Amino acid sequence: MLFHGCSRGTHVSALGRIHVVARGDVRLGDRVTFTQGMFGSELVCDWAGEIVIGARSAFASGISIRARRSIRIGERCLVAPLVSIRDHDADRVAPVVIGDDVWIAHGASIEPGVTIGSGSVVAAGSVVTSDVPPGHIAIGNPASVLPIQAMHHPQGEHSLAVERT
Amino acid sequence: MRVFGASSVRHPRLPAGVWVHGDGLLRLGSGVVFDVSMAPIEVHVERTAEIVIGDGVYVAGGTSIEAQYSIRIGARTRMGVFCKIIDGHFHMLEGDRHVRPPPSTVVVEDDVDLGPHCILLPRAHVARGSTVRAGTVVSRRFPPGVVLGGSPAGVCGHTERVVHP
Repeated sequence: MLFHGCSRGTHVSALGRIHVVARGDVRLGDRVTFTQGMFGSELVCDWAGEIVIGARSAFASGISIRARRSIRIGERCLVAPLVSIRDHDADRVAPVVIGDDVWIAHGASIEPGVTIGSGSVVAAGSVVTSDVPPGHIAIGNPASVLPIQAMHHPQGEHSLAVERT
Repeated sequence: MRVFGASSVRHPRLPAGVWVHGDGLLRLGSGVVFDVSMAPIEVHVERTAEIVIGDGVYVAGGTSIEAQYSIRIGARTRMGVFCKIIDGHFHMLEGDRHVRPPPSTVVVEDDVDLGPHCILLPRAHVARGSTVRAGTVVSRRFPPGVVLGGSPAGVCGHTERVVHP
């Protein structure tokens, strides 16, 4: 069964391939979606780890979420293809917290111990190694953090956001 | 080669592993190579959008080209593995989220060399004879004959390449 071992809300769906290893506590909110694409996604939670994903968060394809202790993702987040979120590497384990309405653009990596505030944006291809306060944008490798107002597009919406003005 | 209304998952005139979807216009020049030996390639053209790929373009595996409005790739351009070219935001439209920011054109001119893992975002314009280093994130216009690198992209040097007239 898809999402075997996960506790999940209503209308949780995976439209493409997804590899789920839920040894620990995996909780998916209502209407969490993994969409179809070129690559499969993976959701791996080790013993004694937890992965919590809030309602209406949408994930594209090729996403890797690997938890050894704790990864928490808020509600209504948008996660683009080939994003990697993990709470451990070779020599440390530190929880990752992602707030509500966060948009993580294509190919970004979220490193262990990072907290991303609500309404923030992670630009495409960024590697986030430090905390991002609410309403900020993280750009580059390693990511630098700027307030989102500085990035506003003349037409009102912020761009996919790798322009430093 | 011209593929019109490519709504099928795999178009019969493209090799297996090239994943064409959407109802837009995809125009391919002669001698375009899709190298799917190591990973699939995705070409997504939404309704009313167009993707124009020039003569002799080489596209390596894992590359994804997605258009909501217009993407143009010039002749003899070479693209490395896992490149991503998008001209708009591909948010899922779901729940109370039903507006996307307007897309903008992406142009890659002739004789450009895109390295592996490059990301070209809306409004990117790589002029002729340029080289884009691996992992670069481009979202604005650069002059011809430059070497681009970094995230966000900056000019790292100039190419000595002979450019076709």
